[in-house]
Amino acid sequence: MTVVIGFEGSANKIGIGIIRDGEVLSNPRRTYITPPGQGFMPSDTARHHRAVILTVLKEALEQAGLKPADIDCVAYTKGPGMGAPLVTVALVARTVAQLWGKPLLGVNHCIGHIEMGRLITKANNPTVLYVSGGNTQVIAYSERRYRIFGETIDIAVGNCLDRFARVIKISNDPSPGYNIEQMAKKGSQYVELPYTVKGMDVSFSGILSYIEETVFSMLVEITERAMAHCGSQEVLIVGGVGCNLRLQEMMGVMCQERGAKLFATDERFCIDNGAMIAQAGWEMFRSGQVTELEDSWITQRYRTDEVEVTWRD
Amino acid sequence: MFLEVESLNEGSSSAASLPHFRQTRRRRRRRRRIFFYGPIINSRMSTDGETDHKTGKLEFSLDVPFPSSSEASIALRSLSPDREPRRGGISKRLMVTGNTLSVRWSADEARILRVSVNSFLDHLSLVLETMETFGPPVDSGI
Repeated sequence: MTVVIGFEGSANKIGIGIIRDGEVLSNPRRTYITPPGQGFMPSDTARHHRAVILTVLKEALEQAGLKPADIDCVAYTKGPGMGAPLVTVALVARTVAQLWGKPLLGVNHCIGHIEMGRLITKANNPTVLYVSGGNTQVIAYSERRYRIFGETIDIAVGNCLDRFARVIKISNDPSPGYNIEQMAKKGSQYVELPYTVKGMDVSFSGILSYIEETVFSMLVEITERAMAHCGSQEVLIVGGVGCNLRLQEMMGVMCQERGAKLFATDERFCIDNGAMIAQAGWEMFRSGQVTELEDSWITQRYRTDEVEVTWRD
Repeated sequence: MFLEVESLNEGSSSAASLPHFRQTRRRRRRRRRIFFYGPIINSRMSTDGETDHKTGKLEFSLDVPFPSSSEASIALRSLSPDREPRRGGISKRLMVTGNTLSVRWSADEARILRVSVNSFLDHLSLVLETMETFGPPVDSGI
């Protein structure tokens, strides 16, 4: 039996989750929500996380009904993400790891999303579309690496949608993307806008007044291209934008045409959360990885394919 | 269980940029509360700032007493891994001697020094509060 606690705070969500052998025992989370028309800045976000992190940690332990002695490993987000919030969370993770005498594990945020997606959906070896406010990547596993097949050449799709929401002052509560989706449901007119796919990659900047159809079509196209290259019959969507039902619908149509299966998780797990860091930490820990304190520095740039995936063949 | 951090010692060297530092802190009116684990011993965090006239660099030092050397080491190992966000113009050294965590800064400009010290004090405060909430450390020879 292996119990891992995971700390996540690379953007505006701070979450701490506990996983025991594939079971999510607790996964509390808080979101820093800014007024309409404003994005979230690193120092304010770090301040928000600082104010609540110890409370959330206590909640995670209480809701799981565990004491620190029951934990086997402390996992935290090493990167990528915003510097100040990453440091805030890493400090607490390092300190409790030492206080409780437990090994530490620095986890790649994107891999956290992937491993949580695989756990919840039980997809076997899917092509992964990772779409969030900070990242847009199409990923396929091959020989101990999560290979990045295609990605945005400028900004993430979620970032694009968030900035669009900011311009027209849509509320950020619960998230700008959610509110765009609700408004888009009532829409009926399609406006033709620049569609920018370059081979395996996409570009979202330069056009901040487009709607979902165009953006999601671009993502479906590059996912399909990656599936064709890998001969894959499964698609897994992870990341906050993955909650969007229209994206899931469009991806579903493409999958049906190819006879492939589509997997996605609900908002508890596609939005940043602590348990996904715990899950990736669980996999890494069980395959023998540990992070020494001197190497536990955080980093704003951490590519998904930098990590050696020792837990898959 | 809290202690207010003194601003720069009176009587420290009067480099032109240091009064600016002190002024700015007063203007901001931020009181920094540092939580110490364990009973308050009659000891205070001590700070010192001056200009090294040979190199022209501004230096700042901070000494933080802890109830034990293992706790000082825990704080050191939590606070040392992350690099300064701004690579140039500032360097910082952390060390533990006995029960005390010592930090030594060397910077080209007062503004850069101020940002780094403020940031460090925020981080130290978080580490201390974590230790107070979830300590004491288990005896496992870490």
